[in-house]
Amino acid sequence: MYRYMLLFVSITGCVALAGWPAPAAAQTPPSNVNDVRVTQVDNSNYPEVTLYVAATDANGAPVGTLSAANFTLTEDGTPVEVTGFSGDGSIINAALVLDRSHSMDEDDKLEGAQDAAHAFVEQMRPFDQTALIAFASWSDIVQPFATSPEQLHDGIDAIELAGGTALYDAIIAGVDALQAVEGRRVLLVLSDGQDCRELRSYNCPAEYGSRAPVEAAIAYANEHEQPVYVVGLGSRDSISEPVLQRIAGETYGEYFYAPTADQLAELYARLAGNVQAEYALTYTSPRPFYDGTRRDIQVQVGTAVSAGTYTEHHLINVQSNPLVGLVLALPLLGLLVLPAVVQRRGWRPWPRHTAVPAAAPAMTVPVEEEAAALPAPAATATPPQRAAPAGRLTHYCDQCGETIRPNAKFCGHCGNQLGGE
Amino acid sequence: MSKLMQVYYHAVFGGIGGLLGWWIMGSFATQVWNMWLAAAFVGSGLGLCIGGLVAATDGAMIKRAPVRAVRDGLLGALGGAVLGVAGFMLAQQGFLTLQAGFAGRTLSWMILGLLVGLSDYAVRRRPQRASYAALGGLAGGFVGGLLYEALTQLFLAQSGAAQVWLSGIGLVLIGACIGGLIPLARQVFSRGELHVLAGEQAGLVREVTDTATIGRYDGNDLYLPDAGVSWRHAVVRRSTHGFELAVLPEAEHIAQIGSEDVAPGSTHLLTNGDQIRIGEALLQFVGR
Repeated sequence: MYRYMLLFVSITGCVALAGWPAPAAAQTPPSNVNDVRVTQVDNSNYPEVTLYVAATDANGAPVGTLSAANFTLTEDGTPVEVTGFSGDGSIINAALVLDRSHSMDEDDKLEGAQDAAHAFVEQMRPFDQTALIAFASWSDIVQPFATSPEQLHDGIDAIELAGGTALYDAIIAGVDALQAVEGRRVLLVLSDGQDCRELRSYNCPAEYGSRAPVEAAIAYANEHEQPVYVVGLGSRDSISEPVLQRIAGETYGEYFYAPTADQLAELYARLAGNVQAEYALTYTSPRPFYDGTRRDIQVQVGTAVSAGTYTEHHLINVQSNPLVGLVLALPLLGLLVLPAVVQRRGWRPWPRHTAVPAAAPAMTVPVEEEAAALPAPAATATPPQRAAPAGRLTHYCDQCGETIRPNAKFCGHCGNQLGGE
Repeated sequence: MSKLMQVYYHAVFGGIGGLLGWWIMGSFATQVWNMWLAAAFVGSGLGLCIGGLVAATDGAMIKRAPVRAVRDGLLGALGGAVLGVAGFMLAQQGFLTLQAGFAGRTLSWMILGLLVGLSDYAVRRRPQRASYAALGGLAGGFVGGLLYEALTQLFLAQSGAAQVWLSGIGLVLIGACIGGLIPLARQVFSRGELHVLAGEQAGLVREVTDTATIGRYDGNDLYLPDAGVSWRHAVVRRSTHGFELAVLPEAEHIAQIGSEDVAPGSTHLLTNGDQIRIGEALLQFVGR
């Protein structure tokens, strides 16, 4: 008997333990997460939305131990379920936009920028791809998207110094290049100076600058939901730091400052590592309508919170239904016949005038209440009442009845001789 | 027909055009198409339906000439379809640039309204008249866009079925606003009016923008199916001294302004309040 009781208690205990929600370590937010940041929202597969989220500790280092259960997501305040999660496997598509204007010749800045680009490429995983864009007065795609480090290294080494600085146009070129790829898109722009469009100096005339203003470049990046990472290189006097910060801030990107070229390689390598450590979280919009509305997203890990946004891009959701169409058509058809119905019932929505007999001796306006509503003639205008010679208004052929010209000798219709006056 | 009733009928026809466009275009799953291809396709359909119906209103409801209504409607539909493609693609671009919202929605529909209004040129070939129509379309797009965005915000959290209603009602409103404001703009910007005091079209008021042709042919701006009116009888047009009435050389009958005869091939300066007798029709010119 005791054996059966012991067996029963053991089985019950096992079932209870198995069924009891264990204090899942994964659901407990790691205490070392100090900050989370939504770095990109990809709604190209809407209503499926993918968020790229960076989680960092107090030192700014990536935290790479999180699971889907650590994240709490809401869209427009509605909690959503994470249906796809990736900790480190997202393909990264990076466009490196490098300044190659003549000012980069000073202090070996160009060499430093090239070293930094080499370092970035070295950090690439086999499935990541990078494109190289170099800009001076114009932008050139030095190397289209490639996964081969050799190709990219050759492209970096081929960059040579050229004319002015068209930074804003280069940002637009970078956004354009990234439109061809899907997934995590990184636009990293490096510049050591100001756009010639703003500077207007002897060394940097306006025509060597961008055609687009900074506002257009920011709007273009935002329109394509492309954050811009900007690196300012050189002394703070030579670069227009507020403009670079504005570009990064208004596109939800990030601004970095490197006083010398030596620091660039480490910065680029760190940035590549940070991007690779981001999390990709996919969910289905709780409002999966093509209604062209803005959606506000909130991501929370423990106490760290970050916000993101995206806009469903349909100007109109043209989706018809025959029943709805019929219901909408009925009132419209009713409005179409309404004036006729109302008029038939005695109410006249517009003024009507009785016809004046053609041979009336005097051309007078019919005296009706509606005629009084007409705009009053100006003081200099001819009075409406004028005497007209009787019989001069319309003449008819007394044989065929058709109208004829005054003083006509023959009817133009039947040839009847009229005799004239 | 009064000016108000002309606006009313244009608005109703515009609304029907919007509904037809929604019905036809909505039977295709354009939501999953390439964004620009979908914009071009939907724009052509909406432009065709709204432009065609608005252009047909004059012939159908004012002149009561079915053949004229069909001809104008086809020309308006053609112009609307072509300009609708450009209009909707520009509208989509504006919508993306302004990141949606009231500003994005209204600006986008204003662009489409402007180009649908411009399609009036395909029907009448009058640049000034078409420019007024374009202004009307612009204003119509503004009002329609505001209403559409307000509805969108109202239906924001509703079900998918509500979204079908939203797009249907939204396009009816946009079509009605564009349709109604096109003749209203012409009326507002016109410098003169012709009031038909007596005759078959008694009660009709026609605005005179730059020129207004008068005759028994239903392609005339002022269609007078009265006895004694020639096919193409006269034209009221602006000259350096103001508006004048020119009786066309091919007219078979004279016109009378007050007690004065205006013979075919001759002109007469018009002053505010002048009464014009053409055949059995009696008109009054109201200048501004």
